[in-house]
Amino acid sequence: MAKGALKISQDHVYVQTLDEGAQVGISDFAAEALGTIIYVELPEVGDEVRKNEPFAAVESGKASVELPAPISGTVLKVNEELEDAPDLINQDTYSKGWIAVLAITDGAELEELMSKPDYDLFVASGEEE
Amino acid sequence: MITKGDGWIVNLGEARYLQVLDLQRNLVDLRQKDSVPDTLLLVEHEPVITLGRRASKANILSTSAVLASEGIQVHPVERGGDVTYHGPGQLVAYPIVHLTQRALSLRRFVDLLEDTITQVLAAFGIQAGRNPQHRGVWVSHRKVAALGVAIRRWVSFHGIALNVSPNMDHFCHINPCELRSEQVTSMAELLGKAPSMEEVVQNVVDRFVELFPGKWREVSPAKLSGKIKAEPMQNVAL
Repeated sequence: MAKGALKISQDHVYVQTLDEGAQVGISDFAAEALGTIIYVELPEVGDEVRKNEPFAAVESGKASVELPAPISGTVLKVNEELEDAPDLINQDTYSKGWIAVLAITDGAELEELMSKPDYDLFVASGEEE
Repeated sequence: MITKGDGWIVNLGEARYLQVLDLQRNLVDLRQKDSVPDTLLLVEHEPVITLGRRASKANILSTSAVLASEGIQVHPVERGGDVTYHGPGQLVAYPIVHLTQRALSLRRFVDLLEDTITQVLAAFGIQAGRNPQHRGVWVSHRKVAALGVAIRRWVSFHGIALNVSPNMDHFCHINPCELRSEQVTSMAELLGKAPSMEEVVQNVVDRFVELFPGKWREVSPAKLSGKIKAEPMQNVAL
């Protein structure tokens, strides 16, 4: 399946557009910062998610971290492999570690996200707000 | 205007679990908007069992009828970790801290919470530390403080619960975080007598303020309610 541009939110959640819908997951930087992920709370297929509202959670070292949705949409698919192997996110978040596929409600929201090079600058600068 | 390093310390005394959960969620929301500074809540709850996001109900050992007869409620919550118990004689600290404003990684934050409790215990002559397999604060192979935090948009909530002198029999209702209940201890057990809760609270505040530097000041529960325009917390007899 052809992949479009990778976009990432200030909350370290990425969107990778596909032919149909877009994969969302956490950035490589966030995966590294969280350490080994031991549990992923997935959304359910059919859930409506709203930009900036939590749509999933990941847990590492007794801390559960809610993930704000980078865009609004409807959940088309969830990555059930994460139920048995949550650390796929640590291994390769941009391919095997995706969390859900969303049908995007408003494509214009993608424009508000950073490109990967811009995101890398954003995290390197250490200033998140 | 909230400036970096400001903070409120609020000793709620004895307060209901769900009421304090609401307060925490409210504070997290306000903290994200910079409407309140970092806040440390200190509280003792009524007997209650809470389940973290990945909790297994199998780790609650008593039937719901037994729990009901003892007046112990069970609440699923959004923190990390498995099953835990709160009750009178256990001091719970809930830090509502903006991690990115303090440039804290999640791991560092959790370490600092554990260090706070380890240093408090040292002040009482108890040598405690980490366990490589499990979070929390340990005295050899027994857990004296349980940890489970949640992060919502880089603001922490939930926290760490130190067993000062709780009813240890209540831990038999659960497998606390996949451990057997006999692997849990309290300051009272370790010292041979219950320390004063007031003294423990003061030690937790002192150590916390050192490890999370800033201009912390004590705010009464009534003042806090006024500041965040919330219903005043009702003090309950536990």
